[in-house]
Amino acid sequence: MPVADLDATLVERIRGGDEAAFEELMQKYEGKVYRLALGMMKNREDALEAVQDAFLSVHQKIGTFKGESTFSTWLYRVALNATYMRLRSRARHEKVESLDGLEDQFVGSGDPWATPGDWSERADDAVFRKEISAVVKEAVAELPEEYRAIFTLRDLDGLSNQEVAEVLGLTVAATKTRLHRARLFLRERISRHFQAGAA
Amino acid sequence: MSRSPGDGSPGCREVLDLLSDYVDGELAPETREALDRHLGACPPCERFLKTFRTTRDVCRESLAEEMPEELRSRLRAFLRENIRKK
Repeated sequence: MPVADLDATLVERIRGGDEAAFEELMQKYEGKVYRLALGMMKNREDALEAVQDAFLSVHQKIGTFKGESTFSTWLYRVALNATYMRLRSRARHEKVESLDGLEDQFVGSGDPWATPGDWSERADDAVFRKEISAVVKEAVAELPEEYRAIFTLRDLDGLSNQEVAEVLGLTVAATKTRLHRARLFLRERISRHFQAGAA
Repeated sequence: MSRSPGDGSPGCREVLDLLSDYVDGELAPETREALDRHLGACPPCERFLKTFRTTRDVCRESLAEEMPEELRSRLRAFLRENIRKK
């Protein structure tokens, strides 16, 4: 049975008061929702609170799911709203620099390719991996919320551009542009780390 | 700065703009071939591509954490408690 049909069956059972169906739904999606929340919130405790809020909302609002999108898209939207609410309640909704025109930074002045060579060759090194993990977490936290959500859904949770666009209410073109800028930003932050280390 | 081979192939700026589509496998075959030609002849762009692609891989490895069992248990306890209150 296709995934969408399986989800539709689960939704109908939950609406009928079948708590075992809700448990099945959680088992299926809690890891994905947690990954999204962790990508957005940075630490496990905050992520857990967002996941709790998300599934409580799903349970309370499942009657409002009209099937106009897939259930997973609807669930990701609920989960993302839960993380946004948590971010705001913790006053972490800080203004972050825009990534508009990021590409121009690479071609507007100087030599964009003069970044610190090819650090990708070190990617298999365990020490490098450990070092880079902290850099990555800091860099992702610097992304504007929407870019962080797009990057997390696309590159960590593996949604398609179309699915990410539906979750965020964006066009596919806008989603792809922001994803590209987020990736460029993260690459730049990692490169800058190695550039500083080499100086 | 944007190097262009001057033969109608994409220059460095165009390559930069297309890198996500390139690594995601979403380019039309002819565009992909044109990028491959550029990358084969432009070591700086090739290095940029390698670090761009590796960025995604190291981000996945650093951030794609499984939900710990302890948190799963706490999630269930929270929902049992709060759904019962409804």
